[in-house]
Amino acid sequence: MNEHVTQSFYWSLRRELWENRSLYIAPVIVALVLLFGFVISMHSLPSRMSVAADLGPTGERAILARPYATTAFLMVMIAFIIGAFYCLDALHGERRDRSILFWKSLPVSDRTIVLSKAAVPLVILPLFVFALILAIQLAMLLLSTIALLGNSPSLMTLWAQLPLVKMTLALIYALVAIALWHAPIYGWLLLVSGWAKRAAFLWAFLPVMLIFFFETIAFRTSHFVLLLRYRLFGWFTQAFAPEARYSFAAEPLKALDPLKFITTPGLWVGLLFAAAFIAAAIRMRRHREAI
Amino acid sequence: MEREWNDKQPIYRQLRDQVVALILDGVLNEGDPLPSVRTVAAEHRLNPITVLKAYQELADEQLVETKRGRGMFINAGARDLLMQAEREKFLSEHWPRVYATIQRLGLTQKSWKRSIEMACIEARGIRKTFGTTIALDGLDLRVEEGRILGLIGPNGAGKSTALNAILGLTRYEGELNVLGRDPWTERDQLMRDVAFIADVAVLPRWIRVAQVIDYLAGVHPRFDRAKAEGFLAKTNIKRTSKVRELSKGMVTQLHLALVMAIDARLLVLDEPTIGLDILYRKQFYDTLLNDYFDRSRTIVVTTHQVEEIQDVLTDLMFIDRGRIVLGCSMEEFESRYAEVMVRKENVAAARALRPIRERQLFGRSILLFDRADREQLAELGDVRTPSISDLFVAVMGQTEGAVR
Repeated sequence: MNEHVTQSFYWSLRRELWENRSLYIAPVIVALVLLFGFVISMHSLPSRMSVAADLGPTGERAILARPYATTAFLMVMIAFIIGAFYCLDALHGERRDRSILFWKSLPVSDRTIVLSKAAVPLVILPLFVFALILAIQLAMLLLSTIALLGNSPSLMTLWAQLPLVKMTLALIYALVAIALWHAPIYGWLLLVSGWAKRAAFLWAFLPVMLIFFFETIAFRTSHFVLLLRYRLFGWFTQAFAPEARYSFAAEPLKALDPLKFITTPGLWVGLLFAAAFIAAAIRMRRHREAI
Repeated sequence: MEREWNDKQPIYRQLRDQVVALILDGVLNEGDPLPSVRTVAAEHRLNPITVLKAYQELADEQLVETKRGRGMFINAGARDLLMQAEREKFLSEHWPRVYATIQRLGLTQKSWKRSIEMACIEARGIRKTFGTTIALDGLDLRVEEGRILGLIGPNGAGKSTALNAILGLTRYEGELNVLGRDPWTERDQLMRDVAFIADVAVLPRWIRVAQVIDYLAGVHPRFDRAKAEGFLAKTNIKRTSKVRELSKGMVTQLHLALVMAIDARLLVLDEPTIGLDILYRKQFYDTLLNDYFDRSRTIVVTTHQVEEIQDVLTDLMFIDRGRIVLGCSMEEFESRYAEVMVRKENVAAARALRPIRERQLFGRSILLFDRADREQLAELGDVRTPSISDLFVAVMGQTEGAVR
């Protein structure tokens, strides 16, 4: 029985990747664009290297590592957007094209299906983006090396100062933290996707807008917007040290603050909401019929 | 007698067992002669000595006796003797093990009795409403294993809702049991034993043929990949095609191939051939009957193309306004209903026999009778079995309250 559930889960995940090829095509395109931008920026690489040399080791590292950190950050943001749109369609699309009648004719429980869909933004996308970021960063390093071949001191500095391993460890931490932090957002979008008859996008954002307008007019406060901002970007202040914004590129590991992160109530409250939303989405999948 | 022999037992023992089975089943009765040794030997291409040995065994067990010059005959009391022996064998060999299992699993008498007496589908008083519309109004339904049931009804009669309830896709009030399970709470387990095609266009359009086969092989314990590929090999469907690239007929072929490769006990078809041309429709039911159906499976089908399934069905149900208004087996249908093309001079006499429907065709009156005397009808004109659709119109006309 358990083996059957694991198998069903595995194949349902693969099914999601067959259906939603944009999940990996879109990040790859973004990655290629970023890489292209980096190639163009390389004409100024030797001059940047000489500026960096005057700043001492920390400044040097910061300047060298910045493009790598920026790339990683942009990729993570793209992954969030892709994940959000994926969730919004995940339980809606199958009802819209009536294929839910086919999926439901198979011995796979609604729970397995919804959990496999939730696993896409929470596990699969972060894993894929991690591999992709690593690949871009290595490509960037390789391109820089080629560009600096005639300039051995700069080349030495690049390889000596670029904290590639530390950046990778920090990236893993960041990806896990962000996935956990954003889990309730994905859960909410899945729930709306399973509930809405049409215009899932509107249903997902309209209530949010309404609450915002209502609060502004009724109480002239903006707690709700702050709450939203906290949910969208709070991972940065909660999972990283306060000075992370400045020191991240130079000292990636020192910027992490896992202890603060796991003791943040916001994390656990968020996960609780995520669990509730996903449970409700499973119920929706059971009850809702083809549109 | 069966002609297949296994290697586990000597052939004369197997021959003996077959004769015993024939006696127990009542095919050979007491006093009947056994076929002569020579006939059996020739028919089964056996050594006469083998046959003789088998008969000798039977004689030793006092099941048959030799009447000199006339051959061998089943003894009086042979059946009782055998039954007694079989009963003792069951009680001493099988029953203790079965009983121990019953005890171990804590099965109550009620639960195991129900499992034996259970029908494939059993519904009692199913109700379902959408807002103020009543889709199912206390539906009662019982489908035995090994039947092919046609569920026929006008649009909005509740056919699809009934099927959805049976498949665990929709909630309902009332008691519903499909293959011993509650479809609403146990849909995923139930779907191991149930396959269904809900009209033609539900296969996801983005999926490739090879992918859908992979997926089914991955999640369905009863799916036989080789079988599905065998069925597909007979079509023009390419493994690399996406469903959206296939014609409507091909999508149906694909879906049917997938479903037939599932070793299901119940197959539910909801308008499976809607929108298909006549070639595909014919082929659909032919394939289903020849390559899939056997007595251990049950098929429930709804369709508007009633004529095409008349020869396929074993059972018929008319549904209207969420209730079953007529339910019978096809044998019953054929013996109960008769349609007469009445000669002009007999029309008045025929009308006196209270037909349930009358229609005109090329100036002749065709009257449909329920439970009328065939001989009497034959005097009035040509008698034949009506088509399901004619009966449908008649029965629906009655329930509408329109007297024809």
